[in-house]
Amino acid sequence: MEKRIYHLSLPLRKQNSIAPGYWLLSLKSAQIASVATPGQFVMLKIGKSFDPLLPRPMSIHSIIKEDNHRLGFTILYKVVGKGTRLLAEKRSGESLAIVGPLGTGFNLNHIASGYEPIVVGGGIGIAPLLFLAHELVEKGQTPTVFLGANSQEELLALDEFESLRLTPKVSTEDGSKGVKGMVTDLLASYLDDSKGSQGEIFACGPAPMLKKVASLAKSYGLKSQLSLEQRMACGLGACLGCVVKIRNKNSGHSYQRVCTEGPVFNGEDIIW
Amino acid sequence: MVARASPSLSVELNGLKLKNPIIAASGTFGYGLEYAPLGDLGKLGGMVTKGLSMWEEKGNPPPRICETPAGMLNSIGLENIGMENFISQKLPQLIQYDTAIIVNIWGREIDDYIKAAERLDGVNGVAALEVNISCPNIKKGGITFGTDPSVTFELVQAVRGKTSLPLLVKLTPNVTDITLIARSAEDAGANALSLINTLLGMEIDVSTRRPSLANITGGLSGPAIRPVALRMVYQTAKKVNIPIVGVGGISSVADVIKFMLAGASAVQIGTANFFDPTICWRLVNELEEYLRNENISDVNQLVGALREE
Ligand SMILES: Cc1cc2nc3c(=O)[nH]c(=O)nc-3n(C[C@H](O)[C@H](O)[C@H](O)COP(=O)(O)OP(=O)(O)OC[C@H]3O[C@@H](n4cnc5c(N)ncnc54)[C@H](O)[C@@H]3O)c2cc1C
Ligand SMILES: Cc1cc2nc3c(=O)[nH]c(=O)nc-3n(C[C@H](O)[C@H](O)[C@H](O)COP(=O)(O)O)c2cc1C
Ligand code: FES
Repeated sequence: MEKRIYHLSLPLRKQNSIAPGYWLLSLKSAQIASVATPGQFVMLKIGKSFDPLLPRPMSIHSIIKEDNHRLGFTILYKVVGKGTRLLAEKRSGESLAIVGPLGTGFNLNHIASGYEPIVVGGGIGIAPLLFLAHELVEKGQTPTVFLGANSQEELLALDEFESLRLTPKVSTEDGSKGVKGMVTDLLASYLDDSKGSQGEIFACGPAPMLKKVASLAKSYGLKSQLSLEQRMACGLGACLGCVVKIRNKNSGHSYQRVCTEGPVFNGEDIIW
Repeated sequence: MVARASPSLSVELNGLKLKNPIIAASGTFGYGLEYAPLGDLGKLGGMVTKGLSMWEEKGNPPPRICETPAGMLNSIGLENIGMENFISQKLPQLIQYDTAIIVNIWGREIDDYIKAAERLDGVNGVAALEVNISCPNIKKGGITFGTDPSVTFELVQAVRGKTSLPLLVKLTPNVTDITLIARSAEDAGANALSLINTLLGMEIDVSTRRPSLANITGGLSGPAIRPVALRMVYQTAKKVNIPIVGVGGISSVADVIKFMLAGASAVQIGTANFFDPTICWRLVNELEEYLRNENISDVNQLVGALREE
């Protein structure tokens, strides 16, 4: 199938802070929204200036729908550096240059009944997981959701998951909400209690968390699909800047592009 | 009012005809097909492939890139799918587009370049070769081919003998006097020169006290290097009689014009493709618009037209 990728200047529809340092922005683009799949991302150029020069990769957080028409999408992001700081200053009506949708998202083709999707998000890693949860629910699944953050304040989009009639199991590192500790601890005890479940783990979060998820999946004999991050320049597969080390089928490793073969990879293939 | 005739955009680089002087630069446009969803490749003057070797090259460990003020560093390590895979998997799709497909080649010793040139000679759809001489020569202790005039001569002459295709030689800026290398490449039979490749640089992450790139050093590109590239094109144009393709930091039609005024017959767009992925197409349109507004009938009238009195 021919890939549909758009380069568009999109007016910012809305942007608001949903927690200190975290922003939710909405963009109107029926074109991108109608072809995007969960786990895909866009490249977002913040302003015309040469500093920052490169566009920033941002996951598609949710699809904006009206009467079942896909009208646009949202991005949920954390302010971590210059680019995201400048992005947070943008107001409705200002335009952003967007390229997308990009990358290979979560593979849901094999999902059938009698199968338990386990969705695990850490920190800002929940960004692509709301779109994923929506899609799973639309496919008639009821994913088990685990969300972890530093504190209650940083547990994002909890109500969005709840409005899908999902009840995320929650952990915070400071214990301000849910179980005190890491989301991977929650996941470990769940997997321990539900041995033999026919399922697959879908996760996004910081690298140490994903590494732990991969090893848990392996010890419980489950498949895992993990969304990775890497610095990017083009987002289109051209610059070869965004690679990660992936185990080859037969032996050895190869470098694969997070922007093209990824961002979602099978947990067992990743060489950490 | 009578509409003015369309200005002529076509250029000829000593045997390589281009419908316009806008070419996508090696390593920034993949194998071309990556950008095909965004525009008609047939509208571009040409495109240069990622640097190809006779073998599949894995490249360097990540992180491979790092943003810098108005630029970026890369240490991709010349990762590529290998010549045979390119010819069998990419080229058949690429030749559907009516644009000049320029294959960038590199090697670790002169023999690698010779084999690449031999392999590509007579392959349908290849318009020209671009020889990247900014790579380490393992037979000479890793010294970059393109930093030594006599090694440059030897390499270009060897490749010249193996191909009837137009030969562009891509020069490294990491030298004391680029015009000496340019002269050697010309004397050895290059049809044209592409300059410049990236400038060797480095960045450090203060919070971790580590180099920002796994390879420690990398090549600087983007708007930050434009004045260096422009100066080198200007100096080289005064010393050689073959056409020059200007590369380095070009990101607007004004930049294109600057390089042409300084003596370039065509230009390549590199890093700008990353932050503005439809720029090549826009530059073709904007260049035509500029010529029309300025009442210039042929783009070649800009070449070397710098006023210096
Ligand atoms: C596929 C993908 C999807 C992403 N989705 C989201 C999202 O939905 N929400 C969100 O908040 N963040 C997301 N990120 C991370 C986000 O791209 C970075 O936080 C952002 O680029 C930081 O830019 P900055 O200018 O603020 O930071 P700086 O530190 O100033 O950035 C400097 C450079 O490092 C790169 N960089 C910094 N942090 C990261 C990182 N974690 N991953 C990749 N590159 C990085 C930047 O792109 C830039 O080139 C995603 C990353 C990837 C690869
Ligand atoms: C990510 C990246 C990869 C590159 N790969 C190659 C390559 O394989 N062969 C080559 O001759 N030049 C390569 N270059 C150099 C560019 O073609 C160009 O000469 C240089 O980046 C300067 O132009 P710019 O500032 O417009 O990018 C690469 C540049 C970048 C940024
Ligand atoms: S970001 Fe350029 S290849 Fe992935």
